[in-house]
Amino acid sequence: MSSARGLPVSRRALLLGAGSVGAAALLSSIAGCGYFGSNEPPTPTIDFNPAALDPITGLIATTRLHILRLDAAIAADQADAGKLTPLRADRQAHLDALTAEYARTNPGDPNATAAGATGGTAPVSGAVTLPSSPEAIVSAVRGDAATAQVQFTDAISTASRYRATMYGTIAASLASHRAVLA
Amino acid sequence: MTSPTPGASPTPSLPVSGAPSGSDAPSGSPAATATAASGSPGASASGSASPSPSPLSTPVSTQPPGPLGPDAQTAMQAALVTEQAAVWAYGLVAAHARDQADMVADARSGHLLRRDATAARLTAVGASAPEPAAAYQVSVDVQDQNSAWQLAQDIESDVAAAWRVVIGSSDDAEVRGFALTGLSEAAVRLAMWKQVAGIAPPTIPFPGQS
Repeated sequence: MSSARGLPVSRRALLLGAGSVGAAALLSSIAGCGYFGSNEPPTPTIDFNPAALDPITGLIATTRLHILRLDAAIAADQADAGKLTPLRADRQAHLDALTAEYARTNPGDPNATAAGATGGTAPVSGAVTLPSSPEAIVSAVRGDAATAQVQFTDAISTASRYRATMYGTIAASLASHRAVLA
Repeated sequence: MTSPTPGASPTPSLPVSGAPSGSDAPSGSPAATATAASGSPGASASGSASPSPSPLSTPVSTQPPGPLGPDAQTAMQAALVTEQAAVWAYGLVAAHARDQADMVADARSGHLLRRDATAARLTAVGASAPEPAAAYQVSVDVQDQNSAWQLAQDIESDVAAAWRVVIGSSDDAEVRGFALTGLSEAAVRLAMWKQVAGIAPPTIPFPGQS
């Protein structure tokens, strides 16, 4: 056997050359793959598009939680139930207003529709843990009011005018809750 | 609740366009002369404007004040008039709610501070600050302690409503924060007066909303 230039090529050299070409072809076929999978960016498990999220959902979640805690407080602290029950009614009114607003601005959301259809009074259930002493229970409820007041106050900055007014009056109501529990 | 008494003094106007009230606003501002000019009953001119920091105060924005839009300017001028009326009307409350002298003093001091801050906020951006009236027509004929308590509640309800409107009049976070402080303070005072009067429940879910 001879090459194009007439130089002799051994059988061993020919086999080596064919093997190299095959290996290169194999490598090129898997180019772009790493040892642990595709080099494509992984699909995130968290939606980083905040525009798809309605910020009011966080306020609704907080309000639902605080209603649960007020229910537990009223059940555990009969001596202060008369003081806490009206506050629970206020918080329920807040939840109703928030869920109605969410339903109004998210008509395509089936959860929003359900919340709106029931006026936002869908049962709030679950178990929460509160301190044992009456003083600590009232203190915990007062702390919840403070937490929510800050949350609604923060939400005012970037909300629409309608929502800012709603958040503002709820924040003011929470300020009064703190006062009557002081 | 309160409105300027017809004939007793010029009715405070609410100019929409912001004609500056004068370059000497800080010392000769309407807010600074209101106490002396109004002759509010029971009002002591000294020491009543001392700050009374409250643990219930709302977090206040630290952003510098920016220009006011037409809606915000009109709403803030209306809130100023309401604060001026509150300062005057608490003089009537003080005459009959003598057992709550400290509460009355704190409330009146708070409204004085807010009145002055609101006037300063308006004049800082070149808007006019309405002059206080000499007297105001109140909704309650204050003859005893109970009617004084009722007037105090009316005062705070009116103030809360005025600041609630300001929140919804602007997209500016600083304006909203300023108004929220006024709304929250009024909501707290309203609850306190209801407790004093034995009204249950003392709180309401949406202060300032009729």
